Amino acid sequence: MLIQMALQIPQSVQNILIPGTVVLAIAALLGILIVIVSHFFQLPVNEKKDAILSALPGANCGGCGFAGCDGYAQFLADGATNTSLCSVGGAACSIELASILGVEAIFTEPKAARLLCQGTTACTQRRYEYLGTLTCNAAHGLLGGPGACTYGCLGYGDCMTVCAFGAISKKDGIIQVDPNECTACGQCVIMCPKDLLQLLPKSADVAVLCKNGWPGAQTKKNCSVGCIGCQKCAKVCPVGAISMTGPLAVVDQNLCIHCGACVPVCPTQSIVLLEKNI
Amino acid sequence: MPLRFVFSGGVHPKGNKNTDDFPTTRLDSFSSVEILLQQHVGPPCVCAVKKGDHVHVGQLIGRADHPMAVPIHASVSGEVTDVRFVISATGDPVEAVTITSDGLYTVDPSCVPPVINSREDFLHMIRTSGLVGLGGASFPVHIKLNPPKGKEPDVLLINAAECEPYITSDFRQICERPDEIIDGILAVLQWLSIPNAIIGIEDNKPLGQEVLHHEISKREAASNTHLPISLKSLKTLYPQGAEKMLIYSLTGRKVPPGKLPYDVRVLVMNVGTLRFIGEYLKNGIPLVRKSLTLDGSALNTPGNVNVPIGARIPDVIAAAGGTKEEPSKIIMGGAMMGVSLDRIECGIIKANNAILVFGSKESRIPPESPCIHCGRCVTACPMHLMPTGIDQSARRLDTEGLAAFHVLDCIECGCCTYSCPAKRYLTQSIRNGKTLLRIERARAAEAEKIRASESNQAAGKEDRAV
Repeated sequence: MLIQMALQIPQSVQNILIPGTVVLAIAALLGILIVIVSHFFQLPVNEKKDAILSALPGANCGGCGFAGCDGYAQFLADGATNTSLCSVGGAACSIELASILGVEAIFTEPKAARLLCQGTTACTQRRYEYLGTLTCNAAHGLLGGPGACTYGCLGYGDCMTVCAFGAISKKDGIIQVDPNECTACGQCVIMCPKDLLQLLPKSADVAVLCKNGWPGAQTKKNCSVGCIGCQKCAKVCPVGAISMTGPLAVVDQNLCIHCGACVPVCPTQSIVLLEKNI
Repeated sequence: MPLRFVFSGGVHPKGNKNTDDFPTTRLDSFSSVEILLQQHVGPPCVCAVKKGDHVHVGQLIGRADHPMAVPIHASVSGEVTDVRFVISATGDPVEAVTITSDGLYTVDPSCVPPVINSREDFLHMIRTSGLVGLGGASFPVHIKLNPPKGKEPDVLLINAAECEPYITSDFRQICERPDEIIDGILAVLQWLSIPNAIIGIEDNKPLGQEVLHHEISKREAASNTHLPISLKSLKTLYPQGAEKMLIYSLTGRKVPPGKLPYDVRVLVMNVGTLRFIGEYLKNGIPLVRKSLTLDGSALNTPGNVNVPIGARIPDVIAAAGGTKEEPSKIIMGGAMMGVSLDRIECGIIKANNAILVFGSKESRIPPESPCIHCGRCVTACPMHLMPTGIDQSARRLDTEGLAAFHVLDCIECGCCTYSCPAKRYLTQSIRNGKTLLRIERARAAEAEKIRASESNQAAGKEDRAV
């Protein structure tokens, strides 16, 4: 009967119908094939990892210690519970990760990178004229760089090139970190050949912005804002938070009670109140 | 000549051996010297004198407490007038002793020729003499002569290639003191029980070859025995005197990446180091003087001088004839691998073999221009690396690329920079690349540590739950 009906259909319509049916049949066949193939060859989807990855900020800065956000997500999906490693996401990110993993959120204090040097062109001189590649690493390789103080910031901005957040700029021959933009990913810290950048808690009030190892008399010649190791700050500190490592004073941020007594006694203004515009 | 007395790659910089027929002059007219207390690879020495002390030549002024350290001795007699910190080659402060000379050069009575009965005696003697590798790397010789068990060298290679342009101080030592060189070689062969020695000397020094050959045959005739020392002529090519190149040219052995010469059973020593051993066995005076080449367009009279260690460079230049124009660059070491100085007042150190004083014309640095992909640096590289690839990876901070190009195998000889027609700062860029790769490896190790500590914690928690 179907054939009879088909024969009754005019020839012009038949001309379209037959190829149409053939194409539809091929499509159906391929559809079935795709379902079969995807069933046997599908990649295992780690839903937990995907959820973690979408909760992470996606900056791929490497601040957690892994190569990127994917590395950290894999680490957490594999059963780790340390949700505090992402410094870019901060506390909010930690809570979200903890809720996905069903564990207790861990918080760390928000930090920001600080440059432990104030040796601007007004404060210090250069020992020689440097003509090589303009990177800190290269300059550091040649007798510790052209600066009079061999511990000071070279100001060619190796840290600036690796900062993914635009928090670092150059000013007066040294670099400057904007604590508002800084996410404490720590890339600049590992890049600095002089080891001058340090992640300090955002709550920190005072710090010795100097890292030199020269004896006091030589420091005085090298730079007008260098720590000369006079120990005045260590003596005035009511809680003993300032200790001397060699000729240099260092503030222990865990012990500091934020009284600010050490700042006015410093003869070279190397211990300073940190500006906070957060 | 067999093909293997040469390696592939390398460059032919203009020899500039202007001073090769100038005999070494001993200079003594120094009013004061400044001796650094770290003149070797390793931790610095501890100062053993104080301001106001009177010292003699050869008296200990820097005590070596660390096993890697090498003691330092006074090079003039006189009074210690200052002990202060100066900038070292790495930029860190290092102690320096200033001695005001009395001009008498009285030798300390403790300096007597050493008595050696065993291998341990010999190594101890080397260490107390304050000897470091005099080829330029200043590696402590007592460490080099004491390879780990099972890797004892079967051949001693003597590096007399002196492939750097300008430098002729080793060549002059060969011509003037061949007896001490042979004494030194025989002592090392005897006490380290190495069967034979090969002296490698470039073919642009026929006189040096002749002198050494004569000395060896003279001794063989006198004692009527065969000395296990052979002399091989190397093709004049930079960097023929680099350790790995020399080993390949003379023995055909290749030092694998990250390995040391004793891994291929070879011991390489500079000819100057051996000459000092020969001299020390005779008179017992520690390493307090150094022969070096003074050259460069800004000097009135280039030449070879023998000066006390610690003599300040301006004093040395003045004593040797002074300058005819204001020097614009002073290089410590050779023109290819030396380091230009930041301050002229510093003293001569043990590893110095040349001071090059260049005027404004020679010290001009041409501006860098883009890479034209000619591949000359690839042809020139004696380590068979791709300097251009490393350069590009280093500039875009691509650590995977750096690892793929084997940046850590670079010996920093400077052949790529020398051959580059675009005047790119390749060697410096490669050095940057090495630092970048080390930073990246440290970071990866840190991530591994986080992972390990977390899994330890997890394991601990499970234990508690059980």
